[in-house]
Amino acid sequence: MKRFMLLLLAALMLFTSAFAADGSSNVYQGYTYDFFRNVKSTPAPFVLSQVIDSASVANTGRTIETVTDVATSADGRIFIVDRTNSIIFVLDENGAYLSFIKTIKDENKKNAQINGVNVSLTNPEGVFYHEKAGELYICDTGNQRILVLDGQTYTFKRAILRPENMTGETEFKPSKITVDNADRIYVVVQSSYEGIIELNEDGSFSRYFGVNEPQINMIDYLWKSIASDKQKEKMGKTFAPAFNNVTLDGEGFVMAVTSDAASADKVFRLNFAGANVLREMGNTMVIGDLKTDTPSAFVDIAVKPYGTYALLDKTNGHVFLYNFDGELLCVFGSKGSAVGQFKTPSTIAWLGDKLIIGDADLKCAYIYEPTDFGNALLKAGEAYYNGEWDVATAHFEEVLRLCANLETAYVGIGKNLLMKEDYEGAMYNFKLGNNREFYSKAYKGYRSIVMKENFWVIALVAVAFIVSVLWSEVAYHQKQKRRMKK
Amino acid sequence: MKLVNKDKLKYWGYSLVHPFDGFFEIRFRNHGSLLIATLLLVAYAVLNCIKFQYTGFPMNLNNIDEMDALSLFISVVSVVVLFTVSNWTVTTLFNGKGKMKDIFIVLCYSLTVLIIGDAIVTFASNFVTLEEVMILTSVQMVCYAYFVFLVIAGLTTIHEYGFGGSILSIVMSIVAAAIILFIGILVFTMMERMISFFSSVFEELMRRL
Repeated sequence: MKRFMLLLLAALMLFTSAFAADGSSNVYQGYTYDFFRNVKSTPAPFVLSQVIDSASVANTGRTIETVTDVATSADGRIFIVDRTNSIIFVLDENGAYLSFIKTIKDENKKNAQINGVNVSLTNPEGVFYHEKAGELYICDTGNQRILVLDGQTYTFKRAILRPENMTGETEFKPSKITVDNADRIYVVVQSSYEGIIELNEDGSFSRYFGVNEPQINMIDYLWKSIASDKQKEKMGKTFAPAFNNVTLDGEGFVMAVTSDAASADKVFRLNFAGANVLREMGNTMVIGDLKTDTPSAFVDIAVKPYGTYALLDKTNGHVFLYNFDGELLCVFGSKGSAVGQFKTPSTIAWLGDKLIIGDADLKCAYIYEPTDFGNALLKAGEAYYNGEWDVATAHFEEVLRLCANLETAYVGIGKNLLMKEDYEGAMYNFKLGNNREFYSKAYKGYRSIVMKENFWVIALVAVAFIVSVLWSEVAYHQKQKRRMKK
Repeated sequence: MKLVNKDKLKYWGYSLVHPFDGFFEIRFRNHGSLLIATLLLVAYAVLNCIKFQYTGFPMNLNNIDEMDALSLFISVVSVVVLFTVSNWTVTTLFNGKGKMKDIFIVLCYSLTVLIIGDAIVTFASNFVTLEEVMILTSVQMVCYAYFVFLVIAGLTTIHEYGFGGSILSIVMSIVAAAIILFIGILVFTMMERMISFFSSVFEELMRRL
């Protein structure tokens, strides 16, 4: 691994010096992990197409000081939250400036007021565009409230303050937010160990949702079990790791990530009861980098309606693509100072098939567009999710034409063949994809066909065996008898 | 010249089904054969390589691309040899009657069970699904259990220990094996340092002269 990292580094240096100027170079070479947790290289799934920075909003006379959160709407608008300047920029899908939100107006174009005070943003950290109601939800973190604006005119609609019936010790400092189709509001407060705050449509407190479990350290456990009560008081409690970001998947499940290394799980797909039902059917677990000294710390997650999700890792600046089954597709992105590389990646969002990735320290957001390889991956995932098996197979074959290292693609093709009862083809693909469970299923079918075809041979062998055993018994018995007579 | 006489072959089979009597004959009436034992050890080491590559796909979690037949072979041989030596060192201190040859023969004859079991499992694993792997695993477990029984029975017999003493001697031999390994590694690193020290001294001398 170390040798690989060195090689990677050397390759990176080579490429950054050779190609980085145009920003669409091999810096973004991808890789993936196989069943044996070895790194396998792949082509770049995404390449940089555009940079959004202060130059993009130059005609406002304002600058982007940091990128804290990014959200997109279905009609292609991009919302960029700048926490330092307390401002939200609105851009169109080509990165052209549309508008900004700082001091909020009401319908009559006057300053909106709450209790006689003008409504303006103070250190906002999160934004979410709610398609169903056409509303923009802003986490006005500094003012400890959530602002709801009209989705087109950005005029003030309502504010959600700390609910009076809220329990627990968590401060109401909303940081990230998402709203589901039943208008339930899920709010993440940074460093809250009580879970995600779930609010009802009217802004009243419903419950804490999805409590995270800390990893149990055996040595700590041992010490605590033999410590006295007084000692325990001094030891400090182990708190449940906090969630860092939240989003919804296409089926309405809440997906959340945590960057806390002490957490047992890193990615969550929470059902209504708050249990983690993330699918991890792939050859690797959904934990990002494997066999590494710098484990991945996920700060944001972006999910496509068909379940393919991208995880943003702030430690190594990697972006992980998983499909809805939790099978690793591809990893790309790196840290560095070339255009398109990251320093402190903070947020990720889908814009159609493109990815927007914000960097807090580089004060910019990158728009990455899929390459042929990335496109085939996404299309295959979509067709597979929708049950269009033949379409998915075609896309998977395209993926394999571009990169023969991807086990997930072999498994995808194998599943299609298995359903068509082409057992031998399925076995071949599952073997390449290192999927033993599905290989067994295919083999079961194959074996029963072989047994049916050669039934007479197998039956004859079995009968011959039984007869020979019986015969030897009889012969032995008779021999004994003869001996007895003597 | 006949390398292995029929009598010794007979006692090889006999000791597998009647370990106490069989190993007694081997130890005290000279019915054991070093040649058979060595052949069995080599056979098991070769089987270990075959097992790595040819175990059926559902059961085979090895990365065949990274197979190293030599280290697989040596890993088996070295464990047996190491245990023979460490068991001998321990039992000579604790009044064991067995010679090193006897210990080696007991270990290698017991390996027969593993050879049969692994061969069956490796062959059969090419015709099973994931659910049926459990059956093969339990067959393997039975073989390992019988192997352990044979080793304990054999060592008890050749050293004339009781059951408790025999277990204790095995535990002690494992500790001794660890110590031997530790000393071995130590010697090797020391040698390496010494050689590099002398070579640098020599180099220095050559440059100054």
